[in-house]
Amino acid sequence: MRNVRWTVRCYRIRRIIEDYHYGELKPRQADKVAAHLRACDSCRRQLDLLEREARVYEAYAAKTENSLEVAPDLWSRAIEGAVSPVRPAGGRNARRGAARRLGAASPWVWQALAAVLLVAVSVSVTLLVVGRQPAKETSASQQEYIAVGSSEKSLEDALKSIQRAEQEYINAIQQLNAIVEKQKPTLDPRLAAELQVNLKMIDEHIAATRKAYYAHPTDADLALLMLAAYSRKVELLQDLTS
Amino acid sequence: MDVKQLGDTEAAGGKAAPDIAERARAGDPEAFQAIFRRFGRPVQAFIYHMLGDRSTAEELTQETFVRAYRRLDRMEAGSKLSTWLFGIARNVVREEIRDKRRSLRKADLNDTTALPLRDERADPDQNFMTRELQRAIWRSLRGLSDDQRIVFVLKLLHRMRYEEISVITGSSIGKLKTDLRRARLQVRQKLQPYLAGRICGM
Repeated sequence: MRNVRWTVRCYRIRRIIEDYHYGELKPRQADKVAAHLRACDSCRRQLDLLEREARVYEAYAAKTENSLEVAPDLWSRAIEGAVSPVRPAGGRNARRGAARRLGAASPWVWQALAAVLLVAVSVSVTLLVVGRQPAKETSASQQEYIAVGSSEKSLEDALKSIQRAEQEYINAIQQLNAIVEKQKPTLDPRLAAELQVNLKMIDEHIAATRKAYYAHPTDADLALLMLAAYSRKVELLQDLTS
Repeated sequence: MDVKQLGDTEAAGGKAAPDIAERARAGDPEAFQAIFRRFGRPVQAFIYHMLGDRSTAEELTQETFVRAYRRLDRMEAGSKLSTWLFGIARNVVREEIRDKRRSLRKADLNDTTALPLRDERADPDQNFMTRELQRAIWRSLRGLSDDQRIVFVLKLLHRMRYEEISVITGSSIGKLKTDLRRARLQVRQKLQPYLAGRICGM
């Protein structure tokens, strides 16, 4: 009789032993399982097996996770993708086709854009050299840093480059805006409406990133974020005038 | 908010997380960046565990955060950031699997090169978690159905609670338990030859 009672009890315990192992039982229920396990070798062995397996999976998870590196530029790529304007219906080709109807931009626009890109690249490189290296060796909370000592000069240069790049972007945007405004009447009304929405979204992002950057002007990530937002606007306008 | 603080509050029940989510929703890039710093790696690990490919995991992590940024305004108040992000990652993974299956429709599903485990940077056999065992675990995971694999990965590798997994997958807790039990038994059976000498009782 005792054996039969134990079998039924074990059967019930086995149905919830995994939940017990995962810590998913209510305290009262967990206490009952614990009491049974103290008295039943067979169920205890079952729990031991679950625990040993769990250690294997834990080691596997740790090993694979530790060997994964979040690429340093993943954040910039993610945010750049996030602020990219939503493509209008019909896809990229439709937008390009409509954009072509605007006609070609003057050569000086391309010169201005080339200058902007050069500035942006030089800023990125300087920031990577000045800012990102120390950030790798500090904790995440220390990533908002101020370069000290020998890096002061480089930091000053980087800050000036950022201001210069921002100004270049603003100038290019003004010039491109003027062209787009002039040719707007020839735009498909649906495309024009989508353009307004996308520009508004980018403008909001520029405002937000600008505010964040000027609150922390030595944070390289925020600087890149702000310049990426400007860059998206230039790209969109450039796309329309190409 | 400090990244570690964000992680701690999430772990403690996510009470302060709505604040950072609220700030991110309001367009504060610092807040979104803090979210990325805290969850970028776990999300990438989750995708890697589901697909077994490093470069795809990286690409889809990027996609996950792009979608997260665009959907911040749709995040329900009171939602836990981690489950919300993993939910997006799960959808991204599902789409990837669907696309991959379309392109590999005629490929042998048991072909180990179809979704290879790339672990060139893993340490040599220094402890029981040998590369051979890692491959065996990955092969066992691949043998599971999509539903079984996701609950196995989230429960046993990411140690989430059923409630959280239910939010992420949209499945009932009962179904999750059934799937996990079947998955665990299936994986145990496949790993038996590798673990027999290391884990007594197998």
